[in-house]
Amino acid sequence: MAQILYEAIDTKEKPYALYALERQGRAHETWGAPMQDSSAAVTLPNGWAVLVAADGVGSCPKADVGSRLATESVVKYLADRVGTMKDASALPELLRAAYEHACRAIRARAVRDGEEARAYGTTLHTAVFTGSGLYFGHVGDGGILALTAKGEYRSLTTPMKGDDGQSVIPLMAGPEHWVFGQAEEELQSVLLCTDGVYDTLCPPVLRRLNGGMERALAGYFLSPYAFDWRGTEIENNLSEMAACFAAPDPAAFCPRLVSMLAQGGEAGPAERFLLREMWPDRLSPMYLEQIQDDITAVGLIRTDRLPQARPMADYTPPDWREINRAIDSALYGARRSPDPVPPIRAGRRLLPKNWRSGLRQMAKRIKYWRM
Amino acid sequence: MSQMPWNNEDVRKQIIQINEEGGGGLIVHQAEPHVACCLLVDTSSSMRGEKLRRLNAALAEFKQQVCEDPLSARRVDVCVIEFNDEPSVVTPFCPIREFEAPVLTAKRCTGMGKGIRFALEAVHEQVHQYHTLGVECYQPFVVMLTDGAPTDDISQIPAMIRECEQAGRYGRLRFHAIGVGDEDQVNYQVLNQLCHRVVKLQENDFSSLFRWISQSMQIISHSQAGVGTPPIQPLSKNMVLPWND
Repeated sequence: MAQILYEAIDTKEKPYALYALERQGRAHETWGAPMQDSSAAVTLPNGWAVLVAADGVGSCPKADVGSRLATESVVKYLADRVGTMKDASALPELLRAAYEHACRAIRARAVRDGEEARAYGTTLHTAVFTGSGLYFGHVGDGGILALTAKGEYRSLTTPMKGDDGQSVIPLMAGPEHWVFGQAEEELQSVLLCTDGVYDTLCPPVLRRLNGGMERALAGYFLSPYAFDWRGTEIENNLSEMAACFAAPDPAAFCPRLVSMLAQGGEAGPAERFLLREMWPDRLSPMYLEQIQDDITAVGLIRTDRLPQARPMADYTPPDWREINRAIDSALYGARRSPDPVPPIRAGRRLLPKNWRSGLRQMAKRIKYWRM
Repeated sequence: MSQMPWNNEDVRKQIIQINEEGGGGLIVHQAEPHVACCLLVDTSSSMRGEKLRRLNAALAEFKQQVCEDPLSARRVDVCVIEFNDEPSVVTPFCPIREFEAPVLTAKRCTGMGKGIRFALEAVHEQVHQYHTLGVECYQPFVVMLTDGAPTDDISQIPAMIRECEQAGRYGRLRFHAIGVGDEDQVNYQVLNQLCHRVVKLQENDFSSLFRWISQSMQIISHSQAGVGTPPIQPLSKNMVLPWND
């Protein structure tokens, strides 16, 4: 059983709840590799909160040290400078300075250990919640998701990958790769996650098709109804959430989904929707279980209000059966011969001469799929 | 959870029942990550006879071996490229479950350099398609089988393979060179220059080789896309794998 770390941050008298969940990847556990993710969530004296999630780049020998150093440096730097601020206008510059500070800390450690700084490769996602706004910094894959006050789900960042679609752009790649921003809408909640969680909630194929995400799964981490902050035992609530995170169990997972779908209303329609539209073959918490990489989720959910209710249909999961069919068709359709299948001639070109325009046509077709 | 609207024990039972019966995500999964497996086969005249007969027989069993694992059956894409005078595609990339084993015939020289170049380009195109569609993929797996020495220029090829293997977070592909047949016939010096994953296949034991490739596909399919590939061990005394991944 993978090790689960979870932390309920004391937010009594604060208008929000904070949590941090970490699970060591099964692949890392099997190979005896250390946990390479790192995370933190702290409240500050002025009532603001700082959230950080970092994912050590697997191929870097000191990735675990890099992610921990980056997290600790950024949290300390921001806590020391932001904790008594009242005006958020300096936050973008402070976030950039915090990233530079993290780089310096890693370089100093590399010199001390006689290693190259790039051996400490890590992603780094940071958010500062000020009560009325959210400022963030981002580099690498994984990213930051949010639920707006209007009840809409958004990805505030785009995962950064190299040209090959696999390599990750790490913190040490330099300031020109770092992205800083401010949420443009009023937010209900925010989630910082490493690629294991991010890619499950926002599978790459959905991102490319219509920028979509698995809203029901995202809601599990972001919706105040799913989190049930009204419960008096926030620690128990979080431990249940962590248990689902580790080994998703329908008996524990479904009540959260029903609560999220009901949005404070009757459970009956939500239960029926879950049974009819979601559970049988479209949505599964087992997705979380199948993640082999280390996974980390750090969240903030406002507890002083609720988001606008959305129609239940908004949570209908994508039709993966249809999407898989369409992907198959795009990948092999052009090359498949009509039935009966004639023998394949030796010497046939792998792709037609005009394969580039063919791909463009495929992409055009895909654009019109609706989930 | 006491304040959550979840008091209906019947619904709870139904959910658990659906899950136990294989619903709840086991019926349809998110878009599957893919792994491109390219078999690059030397069909020069020296392969004629027993070697090619046994290779064709092993190829015919390959699909079934991979598809024994349902996850691999959904994730593996395979193509067969041959090289003799010129390289050519015998079977374009297709899902392994739809793979129809070709019957290879031998002819003329060993244009290994052209063959490798052609295979790397084919794999690159396939991976590019995955990315265009937003489909996750594992490190592509290239297996070259040869029983001789190249008859064309391969001076640029080792660098090309190295570049393809080293680029990216975990390397873009894994290239394997399989020497088939007598040691004095196969030029292992050349194969060792090409890549570090050189396998000596003894007694023309293609059956073991393809079982090993199938097992490799299963190991890869069960790993996390983008997190590197776990170590893969030889399956038979007829396979000598001197490297350690």
